[in-house]
Amino acid sequence: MGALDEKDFRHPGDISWMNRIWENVVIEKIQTFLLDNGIEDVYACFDKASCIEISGEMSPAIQDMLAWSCDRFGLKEIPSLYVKRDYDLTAEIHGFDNPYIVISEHFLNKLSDEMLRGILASRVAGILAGHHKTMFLLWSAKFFSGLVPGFSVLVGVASNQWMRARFYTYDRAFLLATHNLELTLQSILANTLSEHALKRMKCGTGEDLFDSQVKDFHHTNSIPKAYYYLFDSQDWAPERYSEIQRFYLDLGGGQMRA
Amino acid sequence: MLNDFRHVNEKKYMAVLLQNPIIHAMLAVIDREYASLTFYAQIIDRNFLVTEKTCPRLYRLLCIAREKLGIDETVPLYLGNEYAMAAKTIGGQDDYAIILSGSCLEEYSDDELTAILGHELGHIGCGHIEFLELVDLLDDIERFLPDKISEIALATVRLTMINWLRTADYTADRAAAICCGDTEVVLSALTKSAGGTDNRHGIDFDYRRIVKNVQNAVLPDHIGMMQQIVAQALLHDSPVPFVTARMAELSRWSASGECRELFPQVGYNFYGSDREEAADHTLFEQGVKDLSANRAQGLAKIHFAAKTGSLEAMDCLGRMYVEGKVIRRNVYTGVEYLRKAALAGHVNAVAHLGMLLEKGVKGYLPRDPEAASWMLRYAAAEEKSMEKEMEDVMAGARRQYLDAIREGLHEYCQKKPLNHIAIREDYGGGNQGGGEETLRKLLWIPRNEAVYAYEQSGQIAAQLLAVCDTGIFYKRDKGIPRYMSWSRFARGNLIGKKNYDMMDFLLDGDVMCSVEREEAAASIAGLLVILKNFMERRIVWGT
Repeated sequence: MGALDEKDFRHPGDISWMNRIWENVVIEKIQTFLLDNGIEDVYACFDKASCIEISGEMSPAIQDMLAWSCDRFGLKEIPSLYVKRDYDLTAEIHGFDNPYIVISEHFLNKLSDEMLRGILASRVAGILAGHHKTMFLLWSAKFFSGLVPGFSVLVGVASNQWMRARFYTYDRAFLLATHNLELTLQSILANTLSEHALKRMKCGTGEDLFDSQVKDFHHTNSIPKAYYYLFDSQDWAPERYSEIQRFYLDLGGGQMRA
Repeated sequence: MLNDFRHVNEKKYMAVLLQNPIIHAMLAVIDREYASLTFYAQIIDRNFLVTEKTCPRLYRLLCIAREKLGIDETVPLYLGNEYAMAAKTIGGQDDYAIILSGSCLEEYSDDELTAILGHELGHIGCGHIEFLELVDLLDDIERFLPDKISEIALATVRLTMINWLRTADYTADRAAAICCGDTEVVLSALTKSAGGTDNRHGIDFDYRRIVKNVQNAVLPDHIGMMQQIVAQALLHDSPVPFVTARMAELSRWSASGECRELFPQVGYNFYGSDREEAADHTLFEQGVKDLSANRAQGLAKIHFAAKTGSLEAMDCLGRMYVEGKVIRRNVYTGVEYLRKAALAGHVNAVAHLGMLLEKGVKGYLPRDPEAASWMLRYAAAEEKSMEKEMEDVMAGARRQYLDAIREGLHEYCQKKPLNHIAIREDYGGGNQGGGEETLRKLLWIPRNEAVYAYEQSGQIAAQLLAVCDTGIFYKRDKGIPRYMSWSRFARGNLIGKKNYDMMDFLLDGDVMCSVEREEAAASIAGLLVILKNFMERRIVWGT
């Protein structure tokens, strides 16, 4: 099976919002500044010193998952995987020129092997899409935004939209890696629900218990929703749920499983 | 001692901090106002105080850690409800307390907990608390700042603290290793605190491998202003900052000549992860030979042999620490080694403990001639070289109380069910089985001492009590066995004290055994009460 192409899994929203961020003149200047001052090296050095690397020796199985994901998405170099103690359930890509994945201990312990494979594959796809560079820039920009009047408004809205849209790409990559819609839908809710509750949700079946909440979300048009849309970067599970189901249908639905 | 393990750069960076007038002013505020406010808000209100009664296990570990670092002052310890698997010390120069996250009790072993507490005590002993509180104060100030420009301004104050914070943790990690006596315990605790606790995907979070992976990664000491801002932001976001750097640094220090020379008691695996960790007697012998030519190397080998279970090495180290000729004197560590070897059945170690107790060690070990005589008697009997005068002492003791013991046992057998305790057949028990040999080893009962009755119970904590010729042998938990002669027993004040569903039996305030309240009369405690009654009838007080 050949490697997937970026256009196979990247969400249009992810591409357009990321482009808008990169088109910003201030961002370009920050990038130049960061690279000139060797900030990435310091960031990576100090960040990695606060996490534990899960090397191939420590877990050949996880190394295999990463290698398989890289093969599937055509990433030449296998990224390092780190774990850190954090109550947040996250798996993020860090670094600029040398990306690596950092997963929270709580999340790692919560994911089944199959779910972990999908999550790692989706982050590998994120690296291929250059998410880590944008993440690093936005992280750095947070420090300098106070020094540039209006910067937060200029970059903030675009960054919030992109922070949400990148998850659509992750979900697509997850689906393409696992070929399992139920598991992909479960992965969207995995950082909220326990494993037992996830099974009871019957995600992706005719009796999906989350469907009604998704419908309610889309029918609600309120000022708070608009506010959060502009000023909050949190991903929205109902939107991700609908997006991935649409993508699944576009791919041919049930044929995919075969 | 506290200055002996301070990281060399920490002293340097602390001097820099103290030269900064802003930091100086803020420290004054902390001393005057902030520390007491924090103390009130974070401790009195929210957390659970650890005392000998509320949480004896943890309290004991804190005492051990304090002793090992030579910290005499009482340090309040609280259990808090935090996700972080760590402890934190808050307060000011004279008013401080440690808060340990409750999850630590579930995840860490006793040795690891000692290390965690030792880390905090290291911060206290080295005068870090005010500076650590300063970091929190800066966080609080940041919340009220109106704009980013002020935040950046505040960040510059913080910058001066980054290097010190890192090295202060290096120092405290060394204190942790000294407290638990093993670098690898600290490494294991750090691994867990940083997230290395996977129990689902079979990840082998071996701290030795982690250290191997990071041993060449050295954090830059001198970085530019902007780079420091980035580093500082990372420090702020990370639950356990620089954890792998700390692990690498601690390993380096443990293997260094400085540590081997000053703190040889800190165990360290010099031979890497591939070496089998079995009791290594050859290594002990090599170590003893090496002592004259290369003291540090010799000591390292003996310590490693002790760590892998060589009882000879433990006994040897115990004596060396107590004597203070080959190693710097540390009676506490010495007694710990002797105790460990003695508990594992090393007869010489029992004898050496006995010798120590005979005269006592001022400030460390109170004189206890009775216990000393018993331990020496046990050791002599095990070596089959019992001295005649000891035989005479025993014969005298037997004569004086034998009748009371016989009558007491007879009465107990008449009245009480026999399924609780094992009693010698000639007193009406008949169920004394083959466990006597083990009993003698566990309680250090001399071979020529007859065992009349005993009970082993593991309801709350494993406890053993044996009624013998010259007195009572008993132990609770994993502690050292105890001995009480009949004369002390007869003169002492025996009381039963309710303890929830249990009844503690204390003689002159010392708990001899705990039994279920409902079954107290049928247990060995019931026998003790009967014996006490018989003995009191036979004693003419004041003679």
